[in-house]
Amino acid sequence: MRPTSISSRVEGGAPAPRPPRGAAGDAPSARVWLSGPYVVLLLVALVVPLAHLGAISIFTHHPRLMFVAEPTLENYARLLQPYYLEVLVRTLRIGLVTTLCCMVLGVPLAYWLARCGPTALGIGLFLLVMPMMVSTVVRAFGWMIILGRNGVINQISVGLGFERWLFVMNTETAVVIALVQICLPLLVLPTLASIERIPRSLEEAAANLGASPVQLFRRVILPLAAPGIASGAVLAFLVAIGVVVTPALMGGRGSRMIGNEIYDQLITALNWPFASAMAIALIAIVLGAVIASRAAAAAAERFRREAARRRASAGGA
Amino acid sequence: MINALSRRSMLLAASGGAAALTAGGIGNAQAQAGRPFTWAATGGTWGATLDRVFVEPFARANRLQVLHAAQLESIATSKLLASCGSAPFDVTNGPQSDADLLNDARCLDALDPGVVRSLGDVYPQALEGNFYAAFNILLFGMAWNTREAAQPTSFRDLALARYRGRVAIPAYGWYGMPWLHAFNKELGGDEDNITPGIQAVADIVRRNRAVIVENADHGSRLMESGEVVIMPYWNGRTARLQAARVPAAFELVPNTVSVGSGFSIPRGSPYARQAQELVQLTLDPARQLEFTRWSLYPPSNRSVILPPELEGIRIPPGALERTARLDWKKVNDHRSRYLERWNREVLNA
Repeated sequence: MRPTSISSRVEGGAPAPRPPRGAAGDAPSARVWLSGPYVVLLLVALVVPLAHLGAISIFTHHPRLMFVAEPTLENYARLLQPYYLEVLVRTLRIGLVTTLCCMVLGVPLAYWLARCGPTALGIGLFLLVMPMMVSTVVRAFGWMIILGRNGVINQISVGLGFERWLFVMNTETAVVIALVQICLPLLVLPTLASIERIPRSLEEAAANLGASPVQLFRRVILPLAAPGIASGAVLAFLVAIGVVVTPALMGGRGSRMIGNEIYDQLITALNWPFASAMAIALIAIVLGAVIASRAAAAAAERFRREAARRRASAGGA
Repeated sequence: MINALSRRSMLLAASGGAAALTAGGIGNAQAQAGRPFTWAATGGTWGATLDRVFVEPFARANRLQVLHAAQLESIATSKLLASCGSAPFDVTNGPQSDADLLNDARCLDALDPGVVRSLGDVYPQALEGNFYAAFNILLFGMAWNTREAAQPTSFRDLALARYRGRVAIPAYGWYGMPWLHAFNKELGGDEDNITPGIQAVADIVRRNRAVIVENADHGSRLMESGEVVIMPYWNGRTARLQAARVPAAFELVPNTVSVGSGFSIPRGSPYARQAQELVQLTLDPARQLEFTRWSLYPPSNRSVILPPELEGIRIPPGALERTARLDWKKVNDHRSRYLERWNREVLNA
């Protein structure tokens, strides 16, 4: 059975054919010209501001001028204080827990969406993507209404004659709940695209050979969907560790994340050098996560190929 | 038809348009500035009322197009510091501490007494140097629930055991910074030694499980719901709670923080003269009274006669003298370090 893309299933069209290699648009000079505007945008909107941020991060804070161009490493040294290390660890912990929750909820959902009919897919995608069109502030207020001390759940509980039992607001758990809702689509969409590319015939073959549904999922779907899951997980993690509003509204005083510290130093304390140092540290973590994920994906691919080669040689013998 | 337009007719149309713009009052400054007169202030009902009471009449009188750059005061301040001399705003609304910081960084123009003629009528506590004049008096004292709490005598009452779990303190990024300094003074500290204040606030958070109030609306909700029965809060906001029949009262305890809300003029504004006129309009007694009717904050102009229904918000004689004297320069110098101590010692208490 020929695999179809999300768009082709929703719109009922056929997948777009790949252009033949060696066509005029494939020439190296054309590719350079085509990527030119993006490279310029990247330079102007990313590289130059990042370089500026890096420069400010080693300048000296001045209470009234924000910074003076006297190089110092004090801003980075300050990051090594136990308080900021604790905030950093908390940020990474919240990011990891959020990503794991997204994986547990998102991979089965992505599988179901990938294998359902076009109507269910359309509705499912709409329900998945629609919350992304609402601001995070509004979504956080929605959670406050549901999870608050006098929220809907506790009111229903009291209405049924029970005590208030849900006291999750202003805790790290509340932050994770809100972040999972924000990050879930980011994990589901790449995973869905990845699962869609797996031919159903593989599943049928595995089932015919006696694989149980769990074995099928673990030994066929998961390894083949791993690149999509990994991309989604990295996206979810990166978004989760960079948030400001959600921990401010949902978390208590003990749930501050590095985004809150950056915001406070930038806006309240007007200490741009220290805020920049924290931002650079966050960017370094993000880059590290991306590099680690790519290395893990490459290692997994090498392992898969090696296993396939061994199986093939064993079969040949 | 494009063919029917000659070069001559285009020139005539362009010059006619320019003449109409000038005659229509959009004016030279507007044309030179290349942008509307831009005023920075927080949004919501505060920004909307500033617009209705001050900015709209000003725009009508000066035939100016105006643009409200709605944002938190602290965000506007950081933007002004980052673009000193070529500010994106022509006036900015905020408290003394921010104006003082901007003035120290030479990012503000002085007020021109020739245009801002009402400076002499304003309470001295509402003035800051020659660059800032508040249009009302904001007192950050103690708000208390008249049914569930006793009349406070000091900020120290926040530590009383009987209020455990029912007290609140302001977030540092809201008005926690000046309040911390004011409370610190009561405890024997000063701007250079914040330790007594930090320790006392950390104690309130640890022992009495104080809620951190993120903004004025948050504070009002806490008082309305009865979740909090005593906290440092605004005089005007408490008066509005009373108007909404919430059993609340305001107490001007020793070292109450006195700030104002006023417009200052960033250096390099293409609308420098018009900005001065707007500041003057904010000091006008009739306009101040109108704003006070909505905000319930006392006007800064001493010549304003409050009507009987607003007698309750009048500043008692000698009250302003009992408020904390803060050295804003030093307060600003310690912003970053004290924020770190606040986060480490108070929020982690």
